[in-house]
Amino acid sequence: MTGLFVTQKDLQKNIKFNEKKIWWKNFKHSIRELIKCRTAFIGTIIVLSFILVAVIAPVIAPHDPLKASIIKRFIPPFWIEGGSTTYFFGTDEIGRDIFSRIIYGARVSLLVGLITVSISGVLGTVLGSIAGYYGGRFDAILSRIADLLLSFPDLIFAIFLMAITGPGFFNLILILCFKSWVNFFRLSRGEMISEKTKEYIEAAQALGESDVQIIFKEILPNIIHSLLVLATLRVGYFIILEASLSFLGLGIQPPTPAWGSMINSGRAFMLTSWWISTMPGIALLVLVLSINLLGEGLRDILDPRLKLE
Amino acid sequence: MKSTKILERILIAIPTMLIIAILIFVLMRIMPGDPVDKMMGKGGNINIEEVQALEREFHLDLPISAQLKIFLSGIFHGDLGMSFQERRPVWELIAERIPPTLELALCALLFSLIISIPIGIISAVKQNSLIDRLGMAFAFLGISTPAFWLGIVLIIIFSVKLSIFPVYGRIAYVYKPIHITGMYVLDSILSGNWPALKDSIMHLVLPSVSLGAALAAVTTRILRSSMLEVLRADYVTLARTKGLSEYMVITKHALRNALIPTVTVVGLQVGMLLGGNMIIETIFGWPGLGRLVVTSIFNRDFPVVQGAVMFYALIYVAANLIVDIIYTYLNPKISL
Repeated sequence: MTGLFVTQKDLQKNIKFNEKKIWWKNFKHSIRELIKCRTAFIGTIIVLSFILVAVIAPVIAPHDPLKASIIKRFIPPFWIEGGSTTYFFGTDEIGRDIFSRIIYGARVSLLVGLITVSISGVLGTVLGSIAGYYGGRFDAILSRIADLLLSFPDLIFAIFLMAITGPGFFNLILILCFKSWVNFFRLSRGEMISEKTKEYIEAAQALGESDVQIIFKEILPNIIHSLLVLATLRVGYFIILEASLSFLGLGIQPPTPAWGSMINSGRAFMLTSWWISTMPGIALLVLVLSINLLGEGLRDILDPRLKLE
Repeated sequence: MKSTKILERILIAIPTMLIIAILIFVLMRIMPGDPVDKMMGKGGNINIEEVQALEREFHLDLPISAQLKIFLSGIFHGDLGMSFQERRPVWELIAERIPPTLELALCALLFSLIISIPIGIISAVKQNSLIDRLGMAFAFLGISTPAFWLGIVLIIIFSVKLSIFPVYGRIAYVYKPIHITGMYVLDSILSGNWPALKDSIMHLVLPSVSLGAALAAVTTRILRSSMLEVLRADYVTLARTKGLSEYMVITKHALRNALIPTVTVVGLQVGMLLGGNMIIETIFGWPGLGRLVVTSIFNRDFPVVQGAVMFYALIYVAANLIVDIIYTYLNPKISL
């Protein structure tokens, strides 16, 4: 900076610096709000601990999740007569430790949920932003496809495609993404349409920013919060969907421990050994519940318009 | 809603359904697994002439484009084709499975409304009271519980441990009522067969609860939040200052408007109740449409899958349309 003149570069630098500061301030504010909102905080803690457990599963699992043993079949959980703390939640129909299998199963659930949401979120947001910003034929065609995809029940759609591709981890993710980008598409498209008529867009256009810059640098930061909330809630949804598919034998294949297939395998023994189905279900419930708590907490903080009082 | 508008919506739905039909048709045929293999079973000793005869019978020897032509011309004549597995018309198979699915879906809907409407209203009127907090906690639990696991836990508790409800099926064989609508509850009432009525209701309780729990949770939350919003509106204050009783204010003025968002959610979820319940049907041995679709996909029974998926799309379109019609009834200001 020389003398009285402020160059455009300086101005931009200054704006950038301020933007960063504001962003950081917002971020700190959100974290503080999250801690203040007790339920959301609990949700966050539980979700984080599930992630930790999944990452360090080999360290904390007391037994090999795949090791079967004929003599150790149907051992009940430790609080029931005949059970012991060696097998915390008991053993299943071929003598594997349920607790260890639940720990390893968290890996599958979280991986499927997170990867699916990342892929479909990015895809849906990019397509939705472009469709919403430009409108026209591109928008019309994509919206039509979105309507078409939405007219199938999720589960039947997934079962149908799984039957075509065959089961497996990557097929599963591919198929879940195939339909789920639509939700992100619709949300970002709608937000984009309402956002693009605002004044700051006109200002950006006057400054000579390109369309790509306007979409991704101007508008997207303003709508990202609602997308983030949707993404969080969708993680829980996908975890349930994956479990449902594994339950039907179409998702993750045995012997890889997945909660859905564990619940299914216990179904044949629910008259005598109820814990085989019940325990992985509780893990599933707690994880999804915490994700939902986190998601709704985030929504209350980031997107108060949608707040459910 | 004007009848021309309704007609227009139906006309728009037709090309959508056609695209769906063609898509499913093509996808089914690129699926690995040969339907004739599935028809013959795995008994070995397969006669090549028999295989060819079967292929000819179901037009599987023709190229895909020719098969598609036969399929489409069939649709326009109201013919969905023959099931490969059962050798019966597809529409007959689907028609057989609709009453059980519909019965279950209606009961689940009924259960969810009985639970959600009172709790939703009370929670909003007495905001932050104990009932409100408990109701919301349960609603939250409801949306996070996987339906299939809930079903299994309910069976373990109420059928296995307490032996109150039966584990499996729609009705004990001895009670089976005469066929009128195919919905056993209705049939047994119509024919005055009270033991059958009792038995079929007992069979319905657990699946309806497992299926309806999530819907009940969603409805409670939506109803509560829209009630809260409406109760703060000016016209409700006006109604109060006019000296109307609180009961009148809530039922006549607030509820009607609070129901609008609720109807949307419930309406769209009914489509899901009909379409997404194959897991519940599997767990409870319920011979409904969802199970038919799943087994047909595994058996590569192309015509049945095509027919059923088109039926689902039809339900979805119909549910949307009905939601819109109820909308205009609840709020005449909205015109479509």
